Amino acid sequence: MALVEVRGLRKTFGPVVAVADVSFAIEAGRCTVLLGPNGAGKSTVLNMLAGLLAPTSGAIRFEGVPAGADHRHLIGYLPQQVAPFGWMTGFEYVRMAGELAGLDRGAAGVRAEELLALLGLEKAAGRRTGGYSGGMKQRLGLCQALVHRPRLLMLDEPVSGLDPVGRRDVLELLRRLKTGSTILFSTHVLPDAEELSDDVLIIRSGSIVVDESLASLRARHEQPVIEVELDDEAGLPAWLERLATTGAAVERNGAVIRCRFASAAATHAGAAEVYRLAADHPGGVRRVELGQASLEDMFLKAVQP
Amino acid sequence: MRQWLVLVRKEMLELWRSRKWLWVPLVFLVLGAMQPLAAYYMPEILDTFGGLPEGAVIEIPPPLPGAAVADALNQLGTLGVLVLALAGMGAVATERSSGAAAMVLVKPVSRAAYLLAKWAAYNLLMLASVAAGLAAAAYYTALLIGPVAVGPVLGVFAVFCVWLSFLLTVLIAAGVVLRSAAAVAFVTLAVAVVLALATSLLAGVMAWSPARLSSLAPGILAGTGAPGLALPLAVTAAAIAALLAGATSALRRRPMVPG
Ligand SMILES: Nc1ncnc2c1ncn2[C@@H]1O[C@H](COP(=O)(O)OP(=O)(O)OP(=O)(O)O)[C@@H](O)[C@H]1O
Ligand SMILES: [Mg+2]
Repeated sequence: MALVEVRGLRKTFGPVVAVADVSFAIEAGRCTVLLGPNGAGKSTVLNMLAGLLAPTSGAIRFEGVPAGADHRHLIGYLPQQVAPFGWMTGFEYVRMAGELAGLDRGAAGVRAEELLALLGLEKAAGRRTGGYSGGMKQRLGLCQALVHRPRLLMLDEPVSGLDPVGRRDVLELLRRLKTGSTILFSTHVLPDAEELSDDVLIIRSGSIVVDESLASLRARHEQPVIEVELDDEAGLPAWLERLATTGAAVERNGAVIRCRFASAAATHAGAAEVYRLAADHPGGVRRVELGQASLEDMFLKAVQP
Repeated sequence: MRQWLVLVRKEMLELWRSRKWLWVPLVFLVLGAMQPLAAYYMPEILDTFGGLPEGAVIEIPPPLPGAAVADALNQLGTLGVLVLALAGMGAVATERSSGAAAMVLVKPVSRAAYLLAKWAAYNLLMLASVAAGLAAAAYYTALLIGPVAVGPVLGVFAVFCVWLSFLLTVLIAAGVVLRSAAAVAFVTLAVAVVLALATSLLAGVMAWSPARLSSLAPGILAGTGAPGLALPLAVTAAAIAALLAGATSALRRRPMVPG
């Protein structure tokens, strides 16, 4: 059996259907990303898995846990809004989280120190969390989620509110955690999702619309694309007309021109022509790149009604 | 049980850091001391502020020691309850709406342990405060008015604390159901006032009422005894247990997400 199996999950708040019908399974050791537009129901699904919201209907089963029994010892959860007790210090907060998860006081203290240092909070560990910045609270939230080495780590937008260095650090941490633990995280940052995840769940208006491994999603949507980033738009219309004669579907997004060909073979044939035209562009070109359609394209396709 | 102890420690630390461990017992202490002091100095106070006509002789008999302590207890039952309600009104409601409660309850902590930890911590605060208030009242009564028998004071302490513990249980339970801390305080005070009023107006049918634990106090202190004390004691204990059980199951069904 998978580590987690969710079947027919539904949650309504009065007339609002937050989650309509969600079923999926998470295999142990996989890293799954939960994507979806604002209000799609990501946090609601995670809150139900965390035991904070009772589902209106449907079942959540964890491996080795009888139906209806408590599974919270298996999970570490970073909610979307981290709200520590403002009168506690960061260290006290993480230690308490460890004790609540079953560690004894001494072990929880050692683990708390280790995690606070890992997340760059060692200097702030002795200060009250009421004075923490948003990003510091986010890091503290990660500490309390990790403190008992949970089997399933659930993170609701783990990098939101972090500075670029913090974001790098957290992604690096997740990459290291990937080996050996199971992760389910939601994000709006698609490159992060692409970098970290094995499996992709896309949810739209409370229903799952994509449930696939990243590899197979890529294989299915694999479409080479040539991107040309312009320096200056001088003489652009005429140039675009010439570009169209290569047989590529041309699409413009600001200074970035994307050329898509029907097949990989056509791309290879057309690439030389596109490169030659790029060199010819009167306004100058900053970058020409041959690549694959990104998760962003697949995401946009999946959430378009 | 282990988690419960961790949470009790957390609640105690919170009460300490928010200085509630300081000011709540202090208010009770002042309230308790004020009654005997006021009774003793009443003639002087009237003399100073009363502006009585020359030659008027007013004899205010000093109260019996038992009555003085009973008066003090009355103050603890009104202003003291107000202070406790204000101190504890956010215990559950504020944590729930901020999302702090959610971050406790994602750990394998039972809803019962979560509520009982708060219940225990606020009861300890209440016990210490009532002890301070009653001790101050008894001390100044003994000093200024007359000897106070220790036995009845201890008895009244126990009985009165059961009544306040009932009100604290209402306070905690209301926090599970209501989102606003002010509403929690209001409901608790309303329960206290309505029960006390109904109990004094409809003495016949309200013999079981928890509020009798407070209204029987003067009798206990005067040494005339407290007939029928067992019934309200039993009813109150049962009500506390039922409220806690109800609040726990309500908390299980409530969404624990912030907002
Ligand atoms: N407590 C609540 N009461 C009423 N409606 C709610 C509640 N919580 C969520 N909803 C509704 O459920 C839907 C899903 O919300 P949810 O927070 O799960 O979205 P999300 O995918 O996490 O969005 P975001 O990307 O903005 O975090 C939204 O339409 C929201 O308005
Ligand atoms: Mg969300």
